Amino acid sequence: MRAEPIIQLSGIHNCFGRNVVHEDLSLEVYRGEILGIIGVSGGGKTVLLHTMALLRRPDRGEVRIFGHDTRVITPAAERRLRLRLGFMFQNGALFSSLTVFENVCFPLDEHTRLPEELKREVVMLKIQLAGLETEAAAKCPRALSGGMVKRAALARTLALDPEVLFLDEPTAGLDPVTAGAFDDLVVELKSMLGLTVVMVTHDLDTLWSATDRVAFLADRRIVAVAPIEELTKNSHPAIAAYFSGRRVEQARERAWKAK
Amino acid sequence: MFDSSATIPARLKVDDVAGRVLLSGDWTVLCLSEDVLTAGLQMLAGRRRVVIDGLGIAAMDTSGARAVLDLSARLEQAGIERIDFKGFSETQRRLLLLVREMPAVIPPPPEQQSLLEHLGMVTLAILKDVLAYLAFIGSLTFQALYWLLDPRRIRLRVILAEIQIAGVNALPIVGLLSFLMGVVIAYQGGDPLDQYGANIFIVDLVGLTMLREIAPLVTAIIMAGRTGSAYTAQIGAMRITEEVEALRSLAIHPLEILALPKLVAMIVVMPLLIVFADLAGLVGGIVVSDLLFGVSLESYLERLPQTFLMPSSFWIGLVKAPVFALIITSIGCHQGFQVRGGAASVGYATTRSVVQSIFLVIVVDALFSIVFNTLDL
Ligand SMILES: Nc1ncnc2c1ncn2[C@@H]1O[C@H](COP(=O)(O)OP(=O)(O)O)[C@@H](O)[C@H]1O
Ligand SMILES: [Mg+2]
Repeated sequence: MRAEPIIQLSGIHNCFGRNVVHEDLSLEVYRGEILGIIGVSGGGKTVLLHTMALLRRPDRGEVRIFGHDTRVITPAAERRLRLRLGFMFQNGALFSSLTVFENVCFPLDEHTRLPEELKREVVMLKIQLAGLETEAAAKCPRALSGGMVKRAALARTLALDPEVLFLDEPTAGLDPVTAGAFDDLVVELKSMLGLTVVMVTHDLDTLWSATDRVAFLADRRIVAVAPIEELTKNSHPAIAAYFSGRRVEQARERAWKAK
Repeated sequence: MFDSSATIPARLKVDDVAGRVLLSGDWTVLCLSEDVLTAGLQMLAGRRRVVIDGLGIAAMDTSGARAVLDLSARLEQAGIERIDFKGFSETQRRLLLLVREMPAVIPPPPEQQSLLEHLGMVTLAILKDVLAYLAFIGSLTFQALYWLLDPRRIRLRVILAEIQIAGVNALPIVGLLSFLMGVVIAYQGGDPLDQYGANIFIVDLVGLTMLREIAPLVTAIIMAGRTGSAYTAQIGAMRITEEVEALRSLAIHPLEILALPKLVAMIVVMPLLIVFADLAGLVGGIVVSDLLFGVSLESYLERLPQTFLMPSSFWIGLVKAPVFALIITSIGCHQGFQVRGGAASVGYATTRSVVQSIFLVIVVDALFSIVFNTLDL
């Protein structure tokens, strides 16, 4: 089954003042895959993810989402598109004045006409799907641990059942066990709910265990997109440098053992 | 075909002859609504067997699955013994199974406080706030003593920067408002005095009220709204981003760098601003009395030093300055350090800071009046 591309970027330019972050960048995301994006820190991965998720208008270039050219889209159509995209921010970006339950309920309140009881059930369903204990629902974001914040953020992102999930460094700052559990969760949700996932990550274990393809961002463009096994053999100097060293070997071994 | 953004609302039709519930449309979170989900179910009451037919469902997500399961639960409650699911696709079945695994827990509603309990909590909160404020004043005093013992630690640069922000930058607004107050007082008081031909006493009126009361009060209120609130917001935001803890970890007492320089700056700036406000107010009075009530500039200036309480009025206004400075700075910084949690709490703290410092300024001003009165000043 060769899937259809649901997000197509072509000729993307992004710059902040004189700092050019992306230059003539192209990338496609296929339905139903988990695409990893890697590259050095400050290389523009977050900016790329924002561009894909309609959070940033590129300075030049075309972003097609579900076949729509986002440059010539009506506000109403753009709003409908946004509802099909879910974005999980690097630091969670939970609303600090609301509890976890209210955070997840917020998009439902705003965009749906679900009956009250069903709405509450749906919220609790999302909280459970994200792997949180039900007791966590009543807590404020500041009372949560790092791993729980990520899960609560994931629950809010899942609230409207988006088709595409953007995750910005979802496992950064988590201990290996929690991070591994989060990876498993993402893979599981993707297969259960038929999601497409685009994730920025530095976590080698995640790359090996979770992704279908990995895009490497270097020199302001995507220099290679391939399954991780293949990507590690790429001879591009930046990629070779990224994957050199023992930690990669260890991650590969762990991934094999896990399988 | 990959644009599936056109949606069909979710529908539910009850076929009470065949004992079927026919579902159709998009059973997705955006397409579900209340009226659909309960329509006509009572017609099925009393049956033993009901089929839920999902053949017409175009799309289903987890919320839709939850709604379908709720539907079956409701039928079960109505006494129907057997409920069959027909016509659901393989993926829809998997989704239903997945959602069924997650029990439909609903969190208990937040505990309601009784009025008495609420009253108690509020009282305790106020007492705690007062205690914390006293403790804050205490540690601020301690830090100030350290500075006196070791003057090399005084941060002159920071103090000067604070003076620039709190004082120099406030000159236009303080000047303008005091000028207007002078105009208003002369204008309002001038008329009755004019009727008695006592125009020259406008000078006494403006001089007394401005120097004694209005200039210090207006300045303090502006500083509370302009500077005190800024202190709260700055320190509060730093608390949220753990910058205050960062200072502590670098072995710098947060008060020493965040509060003390502000306090010193305010104590320096406040009397100067009040003198400036005095002048602006007097100028406002001069303009009005010259233009409208025929009191020339010369006679105004001649009369001014002779108003019967003249020198003491000026000093009484100035004595209040350091006290007001202390109130505004300490409440502003204290509320900043009280911030806990998120962005909203910075907003609350800033509001509290402005309200409390204006309140306290006016109360203290009243106390001053009583004291000066008994001292016959
Ligand atoms: N809002 C902004 N203003 C100015 N420069 C920015 C902004 N956001 C990102 N940048 C710049 O874009 C570059 C890429 O940033 P980012 O996408 O966050 O990198 P990363 O790959 O680590 O996620 C950096 O050089 C950063 O300085
Ligand atoms: Mg980033």
